[in-house]
Amino acid sequence: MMNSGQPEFSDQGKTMKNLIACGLAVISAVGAITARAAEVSLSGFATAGYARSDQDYNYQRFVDQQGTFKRDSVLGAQMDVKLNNEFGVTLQGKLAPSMNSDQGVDATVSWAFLSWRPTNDWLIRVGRLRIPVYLQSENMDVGATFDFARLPAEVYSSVQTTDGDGLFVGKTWNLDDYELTLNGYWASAKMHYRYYRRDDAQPLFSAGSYFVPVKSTARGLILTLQRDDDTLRVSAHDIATRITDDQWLPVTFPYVAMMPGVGYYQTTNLLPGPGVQSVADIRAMAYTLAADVAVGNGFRVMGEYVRRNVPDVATGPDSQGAYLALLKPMGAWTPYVSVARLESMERTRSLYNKVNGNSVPAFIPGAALINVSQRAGADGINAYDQTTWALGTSYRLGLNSKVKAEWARTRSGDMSLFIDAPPGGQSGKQVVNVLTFSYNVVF
Amino acid sequence: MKTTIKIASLAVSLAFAQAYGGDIVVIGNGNVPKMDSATIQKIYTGKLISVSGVSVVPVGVKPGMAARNRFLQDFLNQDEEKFTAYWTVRRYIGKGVPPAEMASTAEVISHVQATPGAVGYVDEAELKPGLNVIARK
Repeated sequence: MMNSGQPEFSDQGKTMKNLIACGLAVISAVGAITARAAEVSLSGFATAGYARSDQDYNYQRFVDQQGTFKRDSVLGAQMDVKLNNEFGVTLQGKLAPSMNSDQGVDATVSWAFLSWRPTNDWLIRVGRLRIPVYLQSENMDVGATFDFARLPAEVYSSVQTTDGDGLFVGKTWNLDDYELTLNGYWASAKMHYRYYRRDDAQPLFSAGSYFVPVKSTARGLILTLQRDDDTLRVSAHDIATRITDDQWLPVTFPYVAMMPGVGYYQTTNLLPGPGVQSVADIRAMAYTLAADVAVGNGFRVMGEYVRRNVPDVATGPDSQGAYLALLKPMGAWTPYVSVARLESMERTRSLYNKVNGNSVPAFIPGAALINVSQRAGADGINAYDQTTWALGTSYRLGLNSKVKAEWARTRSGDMSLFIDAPPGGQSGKQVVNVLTFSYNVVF
Repeated sequence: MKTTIKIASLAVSLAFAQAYGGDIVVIGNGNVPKMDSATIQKIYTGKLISVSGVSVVPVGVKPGMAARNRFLQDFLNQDEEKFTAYWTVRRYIGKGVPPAEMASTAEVISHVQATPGAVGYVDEAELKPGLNVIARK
């Protein structure tokens, strides 16, 4: 499952219009009662990113040996309206490859919120904004603000909720040289989970990507400790996700024995068997640990760990992911090396391996269809097992722009939902080398 | 001879001051209290919006101007690159925008005098009677 995490213009046209209307109404209303004229600040950001792999299948949706600009490119604009010293309104929109289709570009509203800072220590925001799950969550679309050519997918592409509509409250304590901030939020977001079916079995289903619309409601606490440029962060999130169409998530696939040693996993109710129990609602807890600290001699270490606990669904995204990076800023250059790992928990990987590896002999009536259904069922399991090493650098061209280059080598273990396996092939036991170049600017 | 040396020394000092500027001082509107450098730093990094109950709004001059560079160095212990990078991130995590930038320190002085809560910085040589100096390095 590659989580889109981004509410879509096409799906949420009404919501977006409502938010814009709400934002404008707020600006008008608060502006009217504010003696000073509002200060408006316009800014923008863009990334032109090119990525190419050494494989003919797609990795992370778009990256193959033909090369693509679709994986990392984005164009965005932001308007900050300062109504007075306490109230402000922020709107951010962006153009980026669609997150509910592998075709086309979507315009989305990332942020639309009213902020209220009644004192130095409190910050209350209402509306749509990015949930600060990871160190770079809030600014992950703005490539000029970090040095990685691509934030590690093993962590950043597995989040369940990124932009949310809701209430965000932050309290800061200044402790001598340290700043401690506790953020809490309650927000919901509509997005899509992406799956890729490798085999074609007409008229039952087609090969290719398909998207499952979901609505997630999340609440969480994020504790951040900062001193100068060093940051430590821990967070906990309670996430309730509802699939909003009829593509419910199977709890597991029951095994149907046909004869000794021969049988199949019932991956669809079109196959005979006791029935596939599916659920529309998935409950998850997510926990993160993060650090970005100087370690001496000009080196920095960044690392993040995320654990998603999905106890009720064997096919769900029950996983843990992490990355560790060493960076060495040297003038305009910041070279880095990183290693990242994402793996589903044993129960999920075991189910994937059993279903994916199962087949019935050709003499069984309907064997071909049964065998395709096994692989299709496996394709719908949120299973990951991959490790990525990356070596890259950013180079600062000026105050507002960076170019970046990276070579990354990803090796999948038994499987990876980030890999679109070719027909009849496997996402497991693959090695993908990806070269990335990007130009990142804010203006 | 002694007088000649003193005059020459003064001339060199003045030339140096003209070329590199004198000390930077922070000024505030009449309602802004005196404060220390650490507080100035927090105001210009967006961490404080009020001091002793007074709502404060920092302003500065445009990037590249000598007064700005010296202010960043003296009060924030930063250079332009670090300051801009800090505010770029802060803007894109939704925590506000950098202090307003004015075309000259003369504009800063006018703005600070006319705007309750306004805080700015100028070269000490530009101080004139009636300005409220709230911090010196």
